[in-house]
Amino acid sequence: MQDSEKDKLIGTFEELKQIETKASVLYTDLLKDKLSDHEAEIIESIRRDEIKHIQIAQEIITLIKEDK
Amino acid sequence: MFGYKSDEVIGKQLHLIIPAVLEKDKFHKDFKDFASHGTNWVVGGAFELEVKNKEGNKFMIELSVGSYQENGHWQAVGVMRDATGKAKEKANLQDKIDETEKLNKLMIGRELKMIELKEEIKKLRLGTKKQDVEPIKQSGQENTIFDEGIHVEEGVIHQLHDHFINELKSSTLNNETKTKALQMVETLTADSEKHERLLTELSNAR
Repeated sequence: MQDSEKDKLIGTFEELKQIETKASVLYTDLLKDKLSDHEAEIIESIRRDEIKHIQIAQEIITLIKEDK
Repeated sequence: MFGYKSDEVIGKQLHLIIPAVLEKDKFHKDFKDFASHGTNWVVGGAFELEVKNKEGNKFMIELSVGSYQENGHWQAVGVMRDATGKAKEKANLQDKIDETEKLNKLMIGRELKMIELKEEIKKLRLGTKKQDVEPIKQSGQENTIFDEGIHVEEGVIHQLHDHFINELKSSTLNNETKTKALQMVETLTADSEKHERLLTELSNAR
């Protein structure tokens, strides 16, 4: 794989990281609203998933970087 | 250039030498105009013409013709230059222009797709809650604080995942890396679908 293609693909997944980050911020904001315990529990689990997604996006970037 | 010896052409009419250009009747008419006024469509310009050599092979020349008067009679002087190379260069240039235009169209198509995606990302970054939720409200559906999350999961993240999957599939990553990365994106998509379902349940319960 050429470096230019690799850089482009990495850029794409950097974008995914940003999106997942923004999504986690969105759910953090939602938690500030008046929520029932059940609602807050679900929103919190979604927020944690989004943070996990940022890590996954980073793992994909590492995989691409290490691809030979 | 034409393959004739000098004694084969001196004193002969021009249309016999370059028949592809100067048809006999037209040549006689134009020659009469020239004899009386010292000008016709050929004089004063330089242009490219396709001509034939002695063996009948076609090739391009650049012809320029000037006129002058001698003893009350109009005379013409013509200069011909083999323009085969120039014609080839022109054809090559045209090929390159066509190729560039084709590439340009492809790039514009891709660029437009990216602009659409960027717009979605921009909405997410700006957190345009009211604008995004308003159409749902207008359509008569329930409008809750969870609708924005549904919009993000369904309208933005899903579409982006599809885009990322396509990018990965069309890449030249080795198969092992590609498979691992695709599995990871599929996990993200599955989670996003789960989020959308949970948020819809919360929205409906309100």
